[in-house]
Amino acid sequence: MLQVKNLNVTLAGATRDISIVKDVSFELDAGRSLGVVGESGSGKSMTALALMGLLPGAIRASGSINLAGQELLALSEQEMCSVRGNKVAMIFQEPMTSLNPVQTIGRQVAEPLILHKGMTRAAARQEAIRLLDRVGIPDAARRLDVYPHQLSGGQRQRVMIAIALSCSPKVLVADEPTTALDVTVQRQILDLLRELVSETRMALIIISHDLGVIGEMVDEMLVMYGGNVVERGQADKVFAQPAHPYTSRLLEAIPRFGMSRSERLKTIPGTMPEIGSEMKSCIFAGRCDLVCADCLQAPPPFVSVDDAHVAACIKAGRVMETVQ
Amino acid sequence: MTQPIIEIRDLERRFQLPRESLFRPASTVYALNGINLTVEPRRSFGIVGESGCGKSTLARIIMGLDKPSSGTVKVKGKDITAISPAELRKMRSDFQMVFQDPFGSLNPRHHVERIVAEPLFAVGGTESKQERKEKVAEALTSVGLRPTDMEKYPHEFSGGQRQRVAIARALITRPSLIVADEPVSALDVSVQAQVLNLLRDLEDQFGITFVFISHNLAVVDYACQDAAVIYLGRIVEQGPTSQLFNNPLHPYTQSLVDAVPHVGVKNRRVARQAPTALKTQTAAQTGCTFAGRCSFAKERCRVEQPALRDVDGGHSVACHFFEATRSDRASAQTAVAV
Repeated sequence: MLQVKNLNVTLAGATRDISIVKDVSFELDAGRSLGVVGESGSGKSMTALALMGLLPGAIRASGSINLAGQELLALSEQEMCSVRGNKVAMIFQEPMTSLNPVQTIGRQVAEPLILHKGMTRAAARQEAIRLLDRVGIPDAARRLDVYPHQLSGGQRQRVMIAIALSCSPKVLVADEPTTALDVTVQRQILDLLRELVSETRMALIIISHDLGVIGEMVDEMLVMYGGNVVERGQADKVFAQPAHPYTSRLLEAIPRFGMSRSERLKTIPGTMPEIGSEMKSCIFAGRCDLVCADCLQAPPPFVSVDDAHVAACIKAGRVMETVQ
Repeated sequence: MTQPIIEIRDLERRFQLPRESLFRPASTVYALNGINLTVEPRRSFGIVGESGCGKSTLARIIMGLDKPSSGTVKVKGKDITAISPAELRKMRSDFQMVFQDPFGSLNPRHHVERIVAEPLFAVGGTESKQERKEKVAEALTSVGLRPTDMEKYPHEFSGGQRQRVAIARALITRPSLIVADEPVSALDVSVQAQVLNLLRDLEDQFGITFVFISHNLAVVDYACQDAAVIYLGRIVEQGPTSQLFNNPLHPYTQSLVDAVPHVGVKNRRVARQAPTALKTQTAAQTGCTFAGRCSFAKERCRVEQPALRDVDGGHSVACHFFEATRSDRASAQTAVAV
């Protein structure tokens, strides 16, 4: 239903164009979920903003984003406005800053209903009560008239979800939806999102740096590094048998329960190359412990290791063997 | 028996809220309530809890940045609530703090040498300029930075490197205790691992004890030997991390442990969930603070505050019915597994 092909995001610089996201491609069907995981600066949020047509100023997207037959990148800003919030919706990390502090939550939930569905104020208000009730705001009818500051962080995120759901979007993009929340609240929000996906058959894209969140929530995942997708596949397979050295090292760097005190966390030496640095080699080569001469010759192609599981590494799939 | 590095007895911190109505008394928030804890030297101690539970207030009190309403806080045998500011200033060289945000805690207009040397000025050190430089270089080396980095400014470093600078600043006075308030939560996974390894090396190398405040249970489990779980200003469970997280006894700790998302456990149904969110506690209510959220709560929980009692070998829990909840949980988990 959603097809993204060779999505590139570039910043037009004074002397040259700086590439922020390179050749991201994926497909997503209704009722399925995709996780995008990566560290800060990997380009995951830029990918999300490109999907929403919300890229700032001088940053442009090229390639193709096809939503149920409609090419989103070809739309004018005005046309995109009728898609955004309607067919694709987004929830952000900070429920404190993404809600308008001087409007009641009822008004904010009703806004897209009036705008996109042409509902009357009264009808939109009724629908807002139903939506708030659905996302688990207790006593929704009375809560319509409260302001965001009167709600807790988890409740604000629920309101954000209600706004995103209001027009029954085909795709919901959630950028770090639970990062600002406590673990028990995070658990409730994740459960809610999961229920909503199976109920409404919308497609869900979750962007997170938390591998645990991705691992529990999604069917398929992309691992991003320095603006590139380095691995793509079914989430359980990627976690069970990471094919790219970066994914593998990243998984080893997470502290797990019950690690013995003598055990050291594995680290990845060095830092991510800066955005826009022109790489003639594999982008991970400088930090990879499996690097060989071939890695420095050219960026590696995607190597298939399993059914629909690919990694941008010439040693893909042999990552685990080589370590052992 | 060695002298504990921190000893806290019956600590209470109340905040008076502004009066809401002329005709009602102002209400009081109990940020910390009846806290007793002991941190042994060279056994790093974790403090876990959700936002608003009082963990940062506790850190500030241990550092002498805030005064308790009642109770005593002894650091290396000295009650820091009773000593003069001048004495406290001198003692500070022995205990330092690392903050969460490496962007906000370093002055952007100072170069690293000045930032790292700051505590030396603060404790009134008498070293010469040259000696100070050497000390800064040494501190930077021990956190894995180069001595030449001292001429740089904070903006020239990445997040992980800035946190290293903040740690170097804490190290320079050779403290035996460092209070770290969420030191890795602003960092990426791979960088977080580097900083956690560094903290452990410093522990071994310099014999530093860390008080490690975090909402991330796995991080506390990895970094600390002992930990306490705080809920609404009270310690609900305390003990060695190996027991605390493998065999949580308090229903709250159980819900925290269960709520952590795990890699590779897709569509997991969670056995225990704490239903509603944290509320601040005004007025000294009777009964267990967790009773409102606890699915095991019985009549007794609403009237009687459970005391923290030792269950086995230093693992203690404040729950009237932990035996029952433990077996319930075990059966619930087997049910989920099936």
